[in-house]
Amino acid sequence: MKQASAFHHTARGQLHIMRGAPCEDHSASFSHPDGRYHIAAAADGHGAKECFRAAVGAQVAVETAVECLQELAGAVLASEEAERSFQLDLFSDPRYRAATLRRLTDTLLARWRDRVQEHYREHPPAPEELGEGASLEDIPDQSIPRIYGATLMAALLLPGCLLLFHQGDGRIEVIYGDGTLDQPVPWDPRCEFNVTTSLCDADAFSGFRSCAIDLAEREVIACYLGTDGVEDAYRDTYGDLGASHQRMGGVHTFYKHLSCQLVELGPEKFSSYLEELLPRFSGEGLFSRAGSGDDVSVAGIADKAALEPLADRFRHEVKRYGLDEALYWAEDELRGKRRKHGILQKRMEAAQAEADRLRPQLAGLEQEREQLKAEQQKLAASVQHVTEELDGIQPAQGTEDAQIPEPDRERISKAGCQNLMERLNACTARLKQLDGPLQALREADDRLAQAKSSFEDYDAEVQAIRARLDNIQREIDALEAPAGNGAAAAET
Amino acid sequence: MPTASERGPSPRKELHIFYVLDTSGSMTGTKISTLNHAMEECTQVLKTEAQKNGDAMLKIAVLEFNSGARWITSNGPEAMEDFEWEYLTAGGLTDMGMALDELNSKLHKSEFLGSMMGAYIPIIIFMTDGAATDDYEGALAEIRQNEWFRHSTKIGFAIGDEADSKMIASVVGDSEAVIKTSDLELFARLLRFVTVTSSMRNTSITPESAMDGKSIVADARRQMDIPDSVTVELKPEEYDPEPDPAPDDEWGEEKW
Repeated sequence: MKQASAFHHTARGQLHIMRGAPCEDHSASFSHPDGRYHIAAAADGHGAKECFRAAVGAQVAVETAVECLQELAGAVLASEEAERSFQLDLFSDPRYRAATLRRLTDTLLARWRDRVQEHYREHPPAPEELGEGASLEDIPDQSIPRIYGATLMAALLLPGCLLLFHQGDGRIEVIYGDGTLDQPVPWDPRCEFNVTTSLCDADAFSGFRSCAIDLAEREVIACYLGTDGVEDAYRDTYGDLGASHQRMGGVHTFYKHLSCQLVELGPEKFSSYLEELLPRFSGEGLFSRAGSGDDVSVAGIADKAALEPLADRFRHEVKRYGLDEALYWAEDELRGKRRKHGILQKRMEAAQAEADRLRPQLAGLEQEREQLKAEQQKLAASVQHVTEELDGIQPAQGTEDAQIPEPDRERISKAGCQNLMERLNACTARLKQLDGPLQALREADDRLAQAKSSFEDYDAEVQAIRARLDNIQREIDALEAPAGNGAAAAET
Repeated sequence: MPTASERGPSPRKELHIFYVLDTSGSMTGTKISTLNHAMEECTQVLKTEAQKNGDAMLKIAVLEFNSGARWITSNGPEAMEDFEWEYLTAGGLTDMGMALDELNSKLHKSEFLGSMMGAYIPIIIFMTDGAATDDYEGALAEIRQNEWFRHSTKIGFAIGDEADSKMIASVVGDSEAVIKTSDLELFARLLRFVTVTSSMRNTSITPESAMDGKSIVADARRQMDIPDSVTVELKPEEYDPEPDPAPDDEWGEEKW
């Protein structure tokens, strides 16, 4: 990397903020003033209860790593002869290489242990740190490093080689000159699914992993160190999930995106970008459903000029990944709604069938009701008329009624009135009988209206998701149409 | 700068409530009817809780078992706004072993527990009115290897006189986390209490504050003033209690 710059940033995790827990990540970067070497380091303190000084442990780890790597760089670059000899021996003799890397990690680890012991002696834990019922006697000397437990990643870029060191989880990602992304440090399978090895482990010396890349053999144009707050934001970290979601697809996409930002913004503004991005990324994620919620650290060394020719390709791949991710979550949302959609649809159909069955009856009954009401009114009026007659109201002179003798007129009126009353009562009773069925029919209609409304509202949500799915698919098709799939980068 | 479409929503951890329900033939009649109404009520209560809870996204999964086991929520745990209770019918045997196998197959990050923000300790509520008609012990031994199962809050309901308390105590791991009753109305009230209490406690900030099944049952007895007869008093040698989890020898971040 001829125009490399180093950068770093650490953000407190969203879940840590919610819990009132401190940030337990730490990171640092260093560029020698004449640009001959660059260093990046990141560490993640453990969240376990017994690691109550993990934040300090992470900071000590990063500072110690930077110091050790500066010493190594100073020694290697002390003269041209020293540099040439180091490069030759490192890559021609595997035993020398292994011993050199091991010497560095042994020194780093020993210093870290000494420093945390010293910190402990100078700052014995306060009662509130120890927790209820615990005392200093509960922490034997050999357990002191546990309190400061942390992971560590470190990178040293020299003119001829890139040296990488790793203890615990997190990922070291390297971008080669041909655009390939890789994680060249051997992986430790003990560091998956929220568990990790540690600087405080009894086997930490032998558990440190490292590698050296000969830049004459293979050009490296960027190197990123990310704590597990990065990889835990992605679904495909541990396995292939299809399409662009190959194993580590999310992590690769994250670093391709950062590379594009570095190219666009330049090193200074890129640092500001990291400061703004990482806190948001912890909560919201990036090209993912959500972030990990954990502390996030990114440290790295990258060559903006060397990345520039790859920027368009990376942008394409990043966009594709984002669209595949959006497609997955839209499909997942749709999956989650399928059952209720079916239930609401069945309820609506059942309510519709019930209402359709009853509706013809409703029309008939309502007609009968109207007729009965009219009849009831007529009968009521007739009853009133006859009642008035019986009360002694004389028929008008000259009318037919006036010619009927009075006793007969009274008898006829009483009989007529009784008949009318019987008919009126029967009418009223029948009207009352109709209330029940009519109410039931109206309730069936109300149920149908409610079922329809529930279904239509929910169906609108489902259709909106389907529309979103279709849009995303169209975007994917449009993205892939001009170049086909040939633009996909070879990735490991 | 990433666009709004590239960003996800604000994260909330998920709290999964699993109901593992016996719908064998002996549940026919009043029992299945009570269960259906009780579950409808629990659903309504959980929907209200879900709206109030800013920390957790409540999700529910229902597994019924009779002759075999079947997920009602076959697409995975459903958010409360997407959950509708479907009336269950009763019939068949009591294949508790198959239920445990099926539950075991889904209690994984790659299956039902794949939340990006992590999950609170799940709650698993078992209900049976009989005895297992298949090899449940083998399935139980298997599922006890599953860390999610081991750490989950488990509560058991043994309904009616024919319910095998020893079996359900073995499944939930502790006889004190089992409620036995023939009073169906009491069962419905307790189911609702247990659902609400466990969902509230398990979304507390630290894993240490989450309650085990025994504490929730004890809470129910205290607060609801219910008879001692609902307690299942079994000595550990009478059933197969859950062994204590192995001590942690790995520097893990909290799983949840």
